[in-house]
Amino acid sequence: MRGGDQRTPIAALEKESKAWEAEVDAIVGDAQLLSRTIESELPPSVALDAELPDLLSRLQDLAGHFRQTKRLIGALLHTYLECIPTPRRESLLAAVTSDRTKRFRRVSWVQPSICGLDLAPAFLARWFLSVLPADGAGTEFWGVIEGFALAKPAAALDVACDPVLIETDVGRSVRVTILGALRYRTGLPSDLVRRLNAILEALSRHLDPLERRDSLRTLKPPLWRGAVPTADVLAAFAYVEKLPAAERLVGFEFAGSLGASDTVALDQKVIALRWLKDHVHATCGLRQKITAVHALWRSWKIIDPATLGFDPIELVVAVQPVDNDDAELWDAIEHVLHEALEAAPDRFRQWLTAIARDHGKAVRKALERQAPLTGLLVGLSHVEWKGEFVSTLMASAHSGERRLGFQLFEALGLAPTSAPAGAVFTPQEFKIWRAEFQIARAYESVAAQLATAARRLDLQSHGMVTAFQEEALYHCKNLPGLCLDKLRPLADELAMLKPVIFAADAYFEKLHGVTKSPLKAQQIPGLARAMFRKVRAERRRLDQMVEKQSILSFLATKSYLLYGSRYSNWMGGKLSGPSDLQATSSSFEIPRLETIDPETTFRRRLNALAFLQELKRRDDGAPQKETEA
Amino acid sequence: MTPETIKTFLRRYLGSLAEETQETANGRRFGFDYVIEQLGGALGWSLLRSPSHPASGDRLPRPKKEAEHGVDYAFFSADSTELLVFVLKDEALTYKNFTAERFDTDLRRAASHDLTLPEFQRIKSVRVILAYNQSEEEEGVEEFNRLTKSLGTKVGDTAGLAFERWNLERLIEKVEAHLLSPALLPPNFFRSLTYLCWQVGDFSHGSTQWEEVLLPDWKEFFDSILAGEVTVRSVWMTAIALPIIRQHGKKEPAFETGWLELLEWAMLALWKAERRTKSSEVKRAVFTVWLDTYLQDLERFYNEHADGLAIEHSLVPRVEPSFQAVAESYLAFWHLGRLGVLWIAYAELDLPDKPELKRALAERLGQYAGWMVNLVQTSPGAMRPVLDVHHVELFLFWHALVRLRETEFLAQWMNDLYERLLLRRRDGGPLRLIASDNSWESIFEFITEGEPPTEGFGRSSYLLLMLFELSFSLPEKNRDELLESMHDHLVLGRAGDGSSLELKERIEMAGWAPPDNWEDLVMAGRLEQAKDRGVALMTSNFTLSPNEAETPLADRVRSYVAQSRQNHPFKLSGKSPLSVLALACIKNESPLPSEFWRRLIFESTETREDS
Repeated sequence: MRGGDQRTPIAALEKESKAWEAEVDAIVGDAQLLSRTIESELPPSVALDAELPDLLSRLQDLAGHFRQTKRLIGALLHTYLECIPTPRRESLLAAVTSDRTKRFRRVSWVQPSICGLDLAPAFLARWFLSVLPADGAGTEFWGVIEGFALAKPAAALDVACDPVLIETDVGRSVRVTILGALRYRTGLPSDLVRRLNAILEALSRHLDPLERRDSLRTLKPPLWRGAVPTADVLAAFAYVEKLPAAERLVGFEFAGSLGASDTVALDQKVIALRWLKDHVHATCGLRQKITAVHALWRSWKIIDPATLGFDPIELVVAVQPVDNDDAELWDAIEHVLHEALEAAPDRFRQWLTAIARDHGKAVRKALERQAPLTGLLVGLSHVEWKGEFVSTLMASAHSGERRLGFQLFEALGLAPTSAPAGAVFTPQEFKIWRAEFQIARAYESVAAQLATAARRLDLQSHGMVTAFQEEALYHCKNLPGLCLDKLRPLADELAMLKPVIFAADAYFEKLHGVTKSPLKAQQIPGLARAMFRKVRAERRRLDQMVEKQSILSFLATKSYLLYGSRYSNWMGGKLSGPSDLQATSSSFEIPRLETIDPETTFRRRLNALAFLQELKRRDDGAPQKETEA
Repeated sequence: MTPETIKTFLRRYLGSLAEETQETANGRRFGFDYVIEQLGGALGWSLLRSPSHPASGDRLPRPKKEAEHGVDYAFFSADSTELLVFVLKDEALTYKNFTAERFDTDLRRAASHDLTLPEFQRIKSVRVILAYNQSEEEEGVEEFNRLTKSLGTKVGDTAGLAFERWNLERLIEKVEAHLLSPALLPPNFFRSLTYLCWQVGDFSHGSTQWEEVLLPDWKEFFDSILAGEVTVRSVWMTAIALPIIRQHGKKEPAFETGWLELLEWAMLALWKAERRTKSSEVKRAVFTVWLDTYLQDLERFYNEHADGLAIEHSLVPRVEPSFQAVAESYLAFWHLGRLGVLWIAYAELDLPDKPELKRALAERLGQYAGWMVNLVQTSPGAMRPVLDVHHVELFLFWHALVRLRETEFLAQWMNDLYERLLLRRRDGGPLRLIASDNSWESIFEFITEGEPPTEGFGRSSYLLLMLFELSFSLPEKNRDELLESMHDHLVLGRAGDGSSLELKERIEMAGWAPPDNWEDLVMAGRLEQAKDRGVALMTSNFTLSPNEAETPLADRVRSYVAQSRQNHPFKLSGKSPLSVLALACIKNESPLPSEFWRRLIFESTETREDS
């Protein structure tokens, strides 16, 4: 035990306790006095206004920083303020929060009053500025402001319009906070929505770009929450129009919900679709594109193009080209097309053509993959008019349509014997078809395509028939299996094919005659070795590709058989019975002339491309230009 | 090579031989005694006596130091009942020679045999054969007849006696019938020729064995025959070796072109030897062999097969598809080169000034040119030069067209050639570049790997420069159009509107001035190994320097040609025909000097302008 200090801790505590009790008694006494005063003296005296902040402060000290205490004090203050006239309220509020050292605690006292009392917007604007630190820190202040905006939207809008807020950064933040809070506020009267939009518009004009971007991200207006009347819908879109381009995305959400809703009035759907038509484009985000196509999907059957003022498929055209990976968007497009195919075939044809016209590549790629447009292909394969449709597309003046035609021809697997007929080719159509046919490398369907074209030839045109025969002969020589053999049975039906088949047969017969000719019997030094190396290199590349893509390589180890023609496997302590080796192989016909004479093939393609480009230039009205072949 | 040609060669060869084969102080002497000995063996006779010891290794037989008694060779017949005695003479059978060259004494002594010796027990008759490889005169033959009649019909009491006279023609008949084999050549060549016969019977033309075993042996064989001072005998020996080999060729279609290739190397060996001699007899012999073997066989080959050249894509071999285009080019240029050589060889014949001869020649040249045109029109490979040295074949075709004044076709051909070259470059495939290293291996590697084998691969082109210069053979309008197109599109890679064609590589046209001894080097196939291989003339693609005055492209090219001719004058010696030099370039994959075409374009142009 240490000597000297005879005071025990208990004694010290008892002494402190007694002092604390005395203080509590005094504060409680004061509070009781205040309570009695408020009850007995209405309104309380001005002198009490001056004492009130200190009293509240002592109460707070006494009760600690408990939220309940703050609420209690807030309720007390609110009661007090309700009892005094407005000028005293404002003074008292200012006095309560004037002590910067205790401002944080005191702001929460005033929260019920700010939200519950009718205070002048000008006062509030200034009061907000006075209680906020210069750097805007302090989250409780912002909570008070948000609460105020939600409780008193009209007054909050007035505050937000106070010019004093424009002068400082903190002031602008106050305004943004008020307006931002309002976006969550449901059930705003439409006049307030209009007002809010007007403020936002004004705000967007005054802010510098950076602020605008940051602020407006917070300030998405509550466009659709209260906007039931058509006038409000128009106003909302008008507002969106005035937003910077990057911020107009909000319009998509709005228009999308209008377009996709079954309960929205027709005129509002029209407004929404028109807005979408004006704003959706190829570089939009995926969500915006999907929104547009969905809106179309849900609306096109109930709105006719005349009412709409445009063909709704323009929405789908506008989103092109669609990336192959955008499966959700492709799904939406397929829904639209599929519905059209079933409900309005003419419109389907028109629409598919329209999509393919300028951005056919994406559609063709989707068809190539057969997903997600598989369903569409299946649907198309069942309609009677598919051949005529495809055939017409193939000779279209628009490259996108033509290529779609060639693609569909291939994808639908139209056979030479049942290849569709179409209207007789005009000379120009024939030239276009031929050029496109030379570019396309649809080997599997080349015979069917020739048969289709043969049925559309103008037999009175010697030039057209001769040109066709030249083309057909080239392909018969190029693909004896896929073309010549398949066209042979059609020669009786299509007389113009007879000389072609005769010439091709003669060509192959002559070639057969020189198969063993000494002219080409010699070996080429080094070629055998080179071929061996190439086969080995290709096998290596193939192995690597298979290895990379095969799921088996992740699941199982690979064994290399050494000897034997069958195999057994030792696994789990047991040797399995011998199994036979499995082999798979596939073969395809290689286009002869393209390997024998690549220059001529390339020249044909270049000439065909040049012709089509020239055609396009002419259609576009551009000055003609000499084409490089 | 017709039977008549073979007979001619046999006549020349046998006629060129001495009586005895032996090493002498002056070198080797080849006699027809060895032919008789081999012929006896071929007829199934057994050798009883020969005038020399057998040959060993590369050494020739050595003469025996013993009395001949007039007998050079003695054989037993196959059934051992007849004794065949040969009296050999390398002199003409004339009245004078009959005694002067001891025909009579040798015949008398050969007829007088002692048949009582044990080895002659079964002999029932004796046949004395006078064999000589030179001409004869009637009087000489009469002397022979008189003598042989006077010697009677019996030897001793029982054996019959008969005389035969084998003059050169009879010898040829016998050899052709029984000895067209390696044994016909002197013993030191027997082994190598036998080995070659086996190789041509076993290896396929173009195979690895053909390239790596047969051809080196083949070249070595002819070099050894023609080593040292070239004599007419070695020329004919070369010639006579050819039909021997040919009859052993592998029985397959490829041997036909293989035979032509073997002939080509043999011809180059002959022409190379010909350049060393001043003997007009040797020169005539070489020319005869060239005309009667190579050119004749080449013509025969195309007479038999040229119809195939008129069939579209007839030269496409059955190979892996990615190699088809290049393989077809190989074959097409092979034939284009041979037809070009054939054309130029006949075109440069110095015929007597007779209208019917000129007409016949013109017809023949027209036919050859027709074959070439067919080839070019039906085989895209002929329009697809793959190696830079393919400029030789292109030149040969161009040469024929120019000489035949086929200007319209020439313009069409050159335009098509240019377009195809451009298409290749734009297509960007492995044939977009012409192999500047003239190596098929490189091209194959490019196709296999997809990347040029070296950084500089195909970046310089003599072939393109040649096409630039050849365009001066066109009418001025065509020339300027073609030149500008080639320059802009093909060389500089600019489209008609000035935009880039985005060709993958920049190429530069490069000229070449050959060294002074180019003819010797190319005939020997040693240009690549020579210390002085000439001068490369870089053209900067005839682009104008910043400060250079604008001049038409044609003028720039013409100026380049004039300066390069002035700075590096080149003149053909005239020793070898142009066709032979062209063939040497083809065989050795060696460039052709620009003067070959320039002399036909620029000089004549200047002359015309001057006039």
